[in-house]
Formats: sequence, structure tokens, C-alpha cells
Amino acid sequence: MAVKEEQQFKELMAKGTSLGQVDEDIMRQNIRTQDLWVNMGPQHPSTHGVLRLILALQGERIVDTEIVIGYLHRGTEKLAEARTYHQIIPLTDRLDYLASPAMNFGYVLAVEKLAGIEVPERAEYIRVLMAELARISSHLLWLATHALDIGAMTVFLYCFREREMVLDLFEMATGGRLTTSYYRIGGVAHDLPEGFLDKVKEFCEIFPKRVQDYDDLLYSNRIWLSRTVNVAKISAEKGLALGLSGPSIRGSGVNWDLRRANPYSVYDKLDFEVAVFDGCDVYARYLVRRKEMLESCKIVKQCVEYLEKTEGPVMAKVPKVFKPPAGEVYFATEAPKGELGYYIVSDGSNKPYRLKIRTPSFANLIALPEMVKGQMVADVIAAIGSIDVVLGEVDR
Amino acid sequence: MVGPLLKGLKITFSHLFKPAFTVKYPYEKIEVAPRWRGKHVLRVDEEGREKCCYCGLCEAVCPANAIRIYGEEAPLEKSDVGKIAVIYEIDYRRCIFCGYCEEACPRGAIELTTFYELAEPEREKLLQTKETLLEKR
Ligand code: SF4
Ligand code: SF4
Repeated sequence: MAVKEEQQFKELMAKGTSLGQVDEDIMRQNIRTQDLWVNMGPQHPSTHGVLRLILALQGERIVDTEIVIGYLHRGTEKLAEARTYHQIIPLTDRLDYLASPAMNFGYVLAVEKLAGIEVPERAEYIRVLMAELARISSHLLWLATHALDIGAMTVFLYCFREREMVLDLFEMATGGRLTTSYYRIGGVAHDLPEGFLDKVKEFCEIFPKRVQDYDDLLYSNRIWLSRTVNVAKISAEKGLALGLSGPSIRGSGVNWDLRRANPYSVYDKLDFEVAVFDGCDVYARYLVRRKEMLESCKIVKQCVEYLEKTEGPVMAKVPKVFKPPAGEVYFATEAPKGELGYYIVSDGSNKPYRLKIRTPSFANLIALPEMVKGQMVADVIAAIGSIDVVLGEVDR
Repeated sequence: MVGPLLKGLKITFSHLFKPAFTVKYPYEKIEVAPRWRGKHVLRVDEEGREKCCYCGLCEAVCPANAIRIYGEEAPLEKSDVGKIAVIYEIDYRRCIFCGYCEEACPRGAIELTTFYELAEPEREKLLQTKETLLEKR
């Protein structure tokens, strides 16, 4: 027995405590706790790719989180400097590979702004149609994996079934399922194939019913609620300060959607509601995305209506050797995960001097440590799911 | 509390009696759309001459630098413009199936087909040469 403990023993005995009690008290006074550092990822299935988190734990509670990224770094921005403006489009597909049309969209809009190209209206509607289908497919995959992480296996299977329908639509129109490379500077690669719009209409009919199915499984499910309500909260001020965007910030009650706040393409002619919920927690972010899927479905319907009535070119006149004027441009669009911005510096040649991509997942990920501080380990998984990261765009 | 759970169970149970959505893949083939971007093919014209005239546009446009071509003068029975690609290689270890080569080709000589089973046991076999790419007539 160390000297200190011996002294404590004597003191306690003098107070008349029983021997068993004395032992226990001494033990209690001398136990020291320390943080446990745990690695989560990069191969953890619920980190949605190759995200690595280092968690400092006090028991089951998280005191600190460190994010380690870079496992999927492909140097997209550097590669872009050695590619012509057209050749960069397939590179953007591979940022957020779950919603590649939306990634193409932001890029071509930025280049068109730089070069001052007018895009035919039909092409704009086709682009919006594709981008909204991409939003649906991205949110479906998000709901599937998020639910699977939390333990709802069934939803996963059903969501993938519907996502397959969207991917089939992509395949029909573009020839690719994930990496569509469909958008071109000045329009889209080809007009829509015959029968495509009917298939889209069919999908729009079925889809809200399927969302009802997911609702029946999750919306008021006791287990789902207890895993998501009041979990990983983040206030609007904190979220804004950290640069959260997209559904993640709209779940904290901030009405900020670039399709409304800064309408690009033909969004100002379309009628849709911005989904905003103010629960600040995982459940609110679930509600936002759930509603966004339905709103996107509405937008798709309006696009189909327009496209059925009109005919016309889908490509503006863009010279084969495309050289935008020297200058710089920043253009931000609302991608499924948040604000996607392209910053292009042009020196007047056929390749960009610099291309900087502001990807939503990268910025959103910074908020993760703030969300999970003081939460249980199991809630980290719910939190990662709720900000919907895709490592392809985090690492670029 | 039990209500929502029962509602969920009802849905899963009802799916037991619906037809399966999955495809037994290697036994059942999946039909792909005509625009599918799969294996390349080098087209030949009605007289069996290669359409490719070694203009080099596909090589220039490829974002992945997957194409390597080398051409030579050729007699008229082999090519209607007097030039053919002697070497035409597409490296499937690099190709990203973007379809830009097909879009760039002025003569419709290179096209992407709906063939999608491209896995090979050895990396070397992924180098497509003129023998494997040329359309068989
Ligand atoms: S499909 Fe794209 S990557 Fe493949 S060879 Fe053609 S241009 Fe190159
Ligand atoms: S395949 Fe077409 S683009 Fe390529 S070299 Fe031949 S003719 Fe030119």
C-alpha cells in the first residue's frame, strides 16, 4: 500500500468506518479515468466511403473528434488544369458520383457565365429535369444507407428499388448510369430519346406512393424517433458560422436554397417549395430531404409538361475549339448535398488556368465534431448519415 | 407505440406476395438502353474497308488519354480516302467510357456498343487493339 493510501486508510478508520467501506472509498478516490482514442474508419461501412474519424471518448461519450480525409484524393482540380473545358465535364461526374448531373450542371453554368453563352430553353429544361432526378436518386441513396446505418434494413431495399428506376432513366437518356457526362457547354449532348418522358411520368406517378411506404416504416417509428430526435443538434448560428449548406442547414431552420435565393437556369419559372424544418437534429434533416424528394418530383413533372409541348435545339452554337475570354467567374448551384460552387480563372486559352471547386460535403463535414460533441458513440453514425457526405467530393 | 411498428410490418409482409425485383444476373442478362456506352467498335463500310481515316480527333479529345493511334497511307481497296490507322489501341485500364471519341469522330468510325461484360482476369488483356475492336462482318 502506498504511503498516501495508508494515510487515507488510517483517517477513515479513525472516523469509525467499516473495513469494507474503507476499501471501497480508497479505491474510488484513486481511480483515474482517461480519454480513450478510437479510430473509426476508413473502412467502416457507415462512414460512406473512406472517411476516418478519430474519436476521443469518455466512456461512451464523445469529447473530441478529429476528421482525417484524403483517402480518395484524385487531384481533380490539378487534372483540370491540363484538360480542355470540354474534357473537364467527365471529371466533374466523379465528384459526387451519386448525383453526377448536378455536378455537371454547376460546371457548365459557370463556364457559360464566363463565356456569355445563351443556352436554348429546351436544353435548360432538360438540364433541370436531369438535375432534379439526380437529387431524387441522391436522396434515395442517402435515406437507404442512413436507415441501414441506424438499423432499418427494409427501407434500404425499397429505396434501392426506386433508385434503380431513376438510374434506368439516366441510362436511357445519357448512356451512363452513374457517370452520365450528359451536359455540354451550351446545352446537352443529345435530345431526349423517344419514350423517355412517358417513363419519367410513370416514375412521378409511382414515386409519391413509395415515399408513403418509407414514411410508414420510419416517420413515426418509435426506434427511428429515438435514434434521431434530439440527436446531433446544431444551431442555425453555429451551422452558418461553419459554412453548412443544403439540407443540413435547412434542417436548422435556415431558409436558404440557391434555387430560390439566386435562381439560375429556369428555376424562377418553376413552382416548388423550399423544405425548411427547425428541429436542428437528425430527424429534422431527414424531414427536409424527405420533403425535397417530393418537391423535386413536382419540378420534374413541370419540366415534363414543358418538354412535351416544345421542340427545338438542345445545343447553343459553341465553337469546336472553345476558348472563353480571360477572366474569372464563380458560380454556385444547389447540389443535392448543398452549395456547389465552381471558381474558374481563365487566361484566354482552351484550358482553365485554375479551377477551384467548393464542394458541399467538404464544408458540411467540418460541422461534424460540433454536432457529436457530448453525444454517444452510436450517434456519430446517425450524425454522419444526417449530413450526407460523399467522399468523392470531400477529397476531390 | 406498437401501431407504427405494425404498420411497418404490414408493408414488409405485403411485399412477400409481390414479384421479386432482383435479376439473377449471370444467368439472366440485363437489357441495356441503346445509348449505353460499352465496348468500342471500329466500324467498316459496305465494302469491308475501315472507316477510320486516321484524323486523330478521337485521340485528341479523349479526356483520359486512353487512345493511341498511328496511321499510314493505304491503297484505295483498304480505305476510300487513302489513309488508315495501322495501330488503334484503346487502353481499358484508362478509358472512362465517356463517349467523347464517338462524338468527335467525323466519319462514325468509332462507336460505343451495348456490350458491357468487360472484366478480364489479367490486366494486359484490357488493352484493346485493332483485332479486338474491328467490326466483324
Ligand atoms: S470513351 Fe472516353 S475515355 Fe474512353 S476512349 Fe473514348 S474518349 Fe477516351
Ligand atoms: S476513329 Fe474517327 S476520330 Fe478517330 S482517327 Fe479514326 S476517323 Fe478520326
